[in-house]
Amino acid sequence: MKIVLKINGTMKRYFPAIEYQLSLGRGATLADLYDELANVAGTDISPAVWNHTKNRPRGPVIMRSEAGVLKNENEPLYNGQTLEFKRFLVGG
Amino acid sequence: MEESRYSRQLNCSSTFSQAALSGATVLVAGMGGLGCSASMALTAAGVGTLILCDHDTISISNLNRQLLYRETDIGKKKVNVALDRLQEINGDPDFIAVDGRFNERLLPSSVKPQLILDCLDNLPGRIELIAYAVKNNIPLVHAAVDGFMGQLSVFIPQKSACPVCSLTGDMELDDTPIPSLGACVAIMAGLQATEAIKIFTNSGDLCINKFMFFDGLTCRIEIMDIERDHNCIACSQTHLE
Repeated sequence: MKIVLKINGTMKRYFPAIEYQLSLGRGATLADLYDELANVAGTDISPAVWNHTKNRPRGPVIMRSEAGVLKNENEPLYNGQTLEFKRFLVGG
Repeated sequence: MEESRYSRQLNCSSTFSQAALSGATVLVAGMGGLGCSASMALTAAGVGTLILCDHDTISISNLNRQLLYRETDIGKKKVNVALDRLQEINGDPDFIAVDGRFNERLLPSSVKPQLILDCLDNLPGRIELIAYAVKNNIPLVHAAVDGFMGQLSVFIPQKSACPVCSLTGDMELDDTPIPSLGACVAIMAGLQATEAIKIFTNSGDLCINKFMFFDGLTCRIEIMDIERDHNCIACSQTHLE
């Protein structure tokens, strides 16, 4: 299935592209999306926001779609879903 | 005297009450960029009591955005300088300086805040502050900044989502200093102070169960709905117990 991932907000500073079209298997979850994102964008993602050992975001992030916020890595995705990925800001 | 000092704000809303503002007590947690600008706005508006909390001293790299401080203040405690400058802005409010990282035990037992402004610059501190808000049932106005961008949310304990409810990923951050622009910080602090004044004067609709994202690079403000997470590491009773 096809998923569109949009990199938004300050996260744009740390990614080589601002949008990814990802192909995932049927029944894929958020965890699968992270793994595929690591495959596609690889080491071009800044280690400031990406843990390259775990292939997971570093630091708090917000991942959401039209259906709401995705918090759980086991959350199933669906074909045609558009996800927005942004960093939670902490500066004061 | 009060009428002339505050007369331009009395008609800001049909429910606006200067007496309500004058009777309010606000804890400003963090006297960095957000804390400086938000406390200036609340002081000028005539909020009754401001509790200013910060552990840090003033350094040269603070001066681009922390508008209460001057070059001659470098090395001095932020809360002490802030208290003096705010008193110069308006002699009406009472100010209490709390020198230390936010900790409930540091707060004076004689004064209980009715509202918290989350002006901290780190996630662990923000989580601890939300837990304090829940424990004491005190509303909290959250703001945060990064470069040209900012976010805002109002948290009412037991009733609405807290700023951490929507987060995923690990909570580990690298040590790289976060870019911070005084103009953008002042915008977010202004929104924070606006929400605070709305709460005390029953004005308008609050930024509850939503995030407001400000993007200064694209001149956009985006609203995102959020929901309570009953297992939230900051605000859930499960976590607090």
